[in-house]
Amino acid sequence: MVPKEKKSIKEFLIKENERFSLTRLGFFESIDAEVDFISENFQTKGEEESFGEWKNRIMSEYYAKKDFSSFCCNHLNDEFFEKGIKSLLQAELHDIFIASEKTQVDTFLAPTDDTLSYALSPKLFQKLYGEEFNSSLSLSSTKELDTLCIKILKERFPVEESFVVLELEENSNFYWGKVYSRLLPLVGGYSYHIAGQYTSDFVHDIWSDTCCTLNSAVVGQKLQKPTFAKDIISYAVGIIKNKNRELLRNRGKMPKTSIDSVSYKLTQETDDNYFNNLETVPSNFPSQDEKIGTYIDVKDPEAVKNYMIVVLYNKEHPLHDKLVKGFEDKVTLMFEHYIDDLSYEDLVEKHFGKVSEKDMIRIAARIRQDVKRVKERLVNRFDSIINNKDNE
Amino acid sequence: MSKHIDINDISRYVSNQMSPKEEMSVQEHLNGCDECTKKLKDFRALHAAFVGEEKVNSFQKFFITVYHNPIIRVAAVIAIVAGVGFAVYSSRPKGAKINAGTQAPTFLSADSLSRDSIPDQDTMIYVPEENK
Repeated sequence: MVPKEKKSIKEFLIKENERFSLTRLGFFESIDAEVDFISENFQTKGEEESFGEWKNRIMSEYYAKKDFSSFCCNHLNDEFFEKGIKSLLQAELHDIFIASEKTQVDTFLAPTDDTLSYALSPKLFQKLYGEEFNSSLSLSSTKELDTLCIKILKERFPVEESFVVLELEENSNFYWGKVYSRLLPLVGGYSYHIAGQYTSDFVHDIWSDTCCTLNSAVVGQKLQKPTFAKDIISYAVGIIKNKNRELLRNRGKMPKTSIDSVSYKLTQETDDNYFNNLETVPSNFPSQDEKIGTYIDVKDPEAVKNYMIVVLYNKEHPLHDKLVKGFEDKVTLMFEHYIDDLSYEDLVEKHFGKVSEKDMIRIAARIRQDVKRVKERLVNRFDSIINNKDNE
Repeated sequence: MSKHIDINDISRYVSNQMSPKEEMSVQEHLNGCDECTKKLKDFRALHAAFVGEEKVNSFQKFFITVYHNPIIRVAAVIAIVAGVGFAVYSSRPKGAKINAGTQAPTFLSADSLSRDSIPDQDTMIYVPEENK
C-alpha cells in the first residue's frame, strides 16, 4: 500500500479506538501493528473505488477477520464499549435531528438549535440499550453497528409529546435543563420590553423565579389535563409577565410599555421572531451578548474542557487572550511539552542552555510544576469565563 | 470537504460527536492535507493532556484525601485489623468452628441459677492430665 493509504488506515483505527476503546478492551494491542496487518492482507484502493467505498470495504474485511462479532457480544456490558455506542447513537441522532422538521415540542420548549424530541436522555439510553443491544446481536463490523443504530433511532425518535410532558412532570433534570435554557432569552426579551431592564442580575432574578415556579406547577400537575408543550410555555410566559410586574411594583416603577401589548408569537420558530417588536430581538439583549453558555453545555465537564482546548489552541478565538492572559510563557512551555513533544529536560536545554546536572533536575522539576499549575489555572479561569464570574 | 477543517469540527471529531459519515469526510480531507493533520495531532495531544490526565489526578486527590484525613486513617486501620482477623478466622481448622449461627440459643432458667445446678467443686478444678 502507498504511504497515503497507510496514513488513512492509521487514522481510521485511531478514530475507532477513540470511540470504542479497542486497545483498552483488548481488541488489538498496537495501532501500528494493525496498520501493517491491514496493508499486508487487504487490497489497495481500486481506481474506480471512492474513498468511502474503500474505507468501508477495508474496514469490513478487517473486522470480519478479527471476529468483531464475538468481541461485540462479549463487551456489551463493558462501560467503555457502552460509552462508545452511546456516543455513536448521540451523533447519529443529532444528524437525524438536523435533517428533520421541527416538532411542536421543540418549537415551544427547546432552546435554539437544541431538541427535546430527538434527545437521548440517560434514562432513554439505558432503556434502549437494554432492549436492543443483547448477546443475540450479530454485527460483523462497526459499519453494521452504525447501521443498526440508525435503524433503532429512526424507529424510536422523535419521542411523543406526551412522553416529554410526563418526563417534566416526573421532574427529569435532563429535560428541565433544556426548558430552563429555553426560558432565558424569553425572560430577557420580556424584561427588555416591559421593564426596560436587561442587566444580567435583573434578568437572572426573574429567570430563576420563573424556572422554580414553572417547575412546581408542572411537577405538581397544576396545569390543565391533558398537558401539551404549548400549555407549558404559555404558563411560563404568564409567570414572566407577572414577575416583571411584581418587580416593577416593588421598585415603584411603571412598565415601559403595556404588559398586555407584548405578545409572544408561539408559532414562530426562531428567537428573532419571538416578540412583536423588532426592538426586542434577542440580539438586542445585552445580557445575551457573547454568552458562551449558549454554545456549549456548561453542565457537561467534558464538553467544557473540549471547548477550552479549542479556545486555547485557536489564537484567533475571541476568548483566547482572556484565557491565557498572564500565563503566556507557561502556556508556551505547555505547548512545547505536549504538542512539540519536548521532555522537561529538553525544555530546560532550550530555554536555559547547558546547565549542570543538579540545576537540570531542579529546573526540570520547576517546569513540570509550572505546566501542571497552568493547566489547573486555565481550567479554573475558563470556568470563571463561561459562568461570567469576575473572580480573576 | 475541500476547505480546511474548522477547529470546532476537530474538537467534535476527537470527542466522538460526529457521525461516521461526517468522520469519513474529515478523514478524506486529512488524507490530502498535512496542515489539518498537524492541527488534529496537536489537538489530540492537548486533549490527552487535559482530559487524559484528569483520571490520574482524581485518583491522586482521592489518595491524598484518604492519607491526610485522620478519621479515614483510623477507619482504614480498623478495616485492616478486621480483615486480618477475618482471614485468620477463616483459615483456622474446620473442627474448631464455632456453631454460633446454627446452635440453638440457650436461655438460663431460674433453675439453672439455683445452688443445685452448680457443678461439684471437683469438676471446677483444673487437674493436669499427669495428676489424674
